[in-house]
Amino acid sequence: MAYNILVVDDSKTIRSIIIKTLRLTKLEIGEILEAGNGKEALTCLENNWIDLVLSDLNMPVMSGVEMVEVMAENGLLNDIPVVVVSTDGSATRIEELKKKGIRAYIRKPFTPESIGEIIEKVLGVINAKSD
Amino acid sequence: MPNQIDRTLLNDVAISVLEQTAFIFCEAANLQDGIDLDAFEFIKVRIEFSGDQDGLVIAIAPGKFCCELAENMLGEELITEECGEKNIDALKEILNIIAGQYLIRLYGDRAVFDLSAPEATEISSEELCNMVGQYDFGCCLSDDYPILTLALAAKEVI
Repeated sequence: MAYNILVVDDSKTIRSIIIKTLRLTKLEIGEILEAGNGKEALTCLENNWIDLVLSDLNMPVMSGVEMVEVMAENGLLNDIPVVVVSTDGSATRIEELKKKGIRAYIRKPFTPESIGEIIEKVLGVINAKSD
Repeated sequence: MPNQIDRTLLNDVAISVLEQTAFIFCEAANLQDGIDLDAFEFIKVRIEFSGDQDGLVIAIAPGKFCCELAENMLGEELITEECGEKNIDALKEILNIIAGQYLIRLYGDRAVFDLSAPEATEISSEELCNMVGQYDFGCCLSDDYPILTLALAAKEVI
């Protein structure tokens, strides 16, 4: 099964880096969509089939946390797993985010191996691409 | 230099982050050892943090170095026209990671900080020399490119 992934970050360059890294993992990737903030991400989620959201926290217009709060209130979106990709490494902050429904946390800098492993765990992937 | 915090640790974190994130290898250097700052135009990136302690972190690097940084992070060669936005984004991202790791190393992983969005400005070598005269920057060298870092335990205008 190929997974559609939404990458949310206000920096186009960072989105490019994350997308390149995703392509280097063993995951079966379908479509990768991009959004520049939480509000754009919600629009994208309402109009596309997305299996996983990878999101930054600090963004203009709508932050990653605000986006997750809106998703939690929406019966059509609250099952979509959100993984935060951020530089914020506070254990206290990560615990707070998990209480809000975030499935996992990827701390920057990341490698294809580390990002792939976490996504596989979140999606329960059993058919990752072989080498 | 009032409010200045742990220059050596910040420089160590910067060297480690550049290696992990962009495969750029740097050596710690001392600005008093005659490093030539006149040869470059620089980009300065600044992030404020607030929480258990308020302050700011700054990174300054030559524009040409930032272009190499963006190329390494993106894994592709950039033509000159593409460098403008991407090199600034690359340095912003590097400082974001440096700030996150530095604050954990300094205050532990239970402390909570909010980081501002990184702000970037281009500065001349003359402006940089003035700043270097006022603050005790950490420095590392990648080839001949100087990368300067500074952390202050207050949100000063710098």
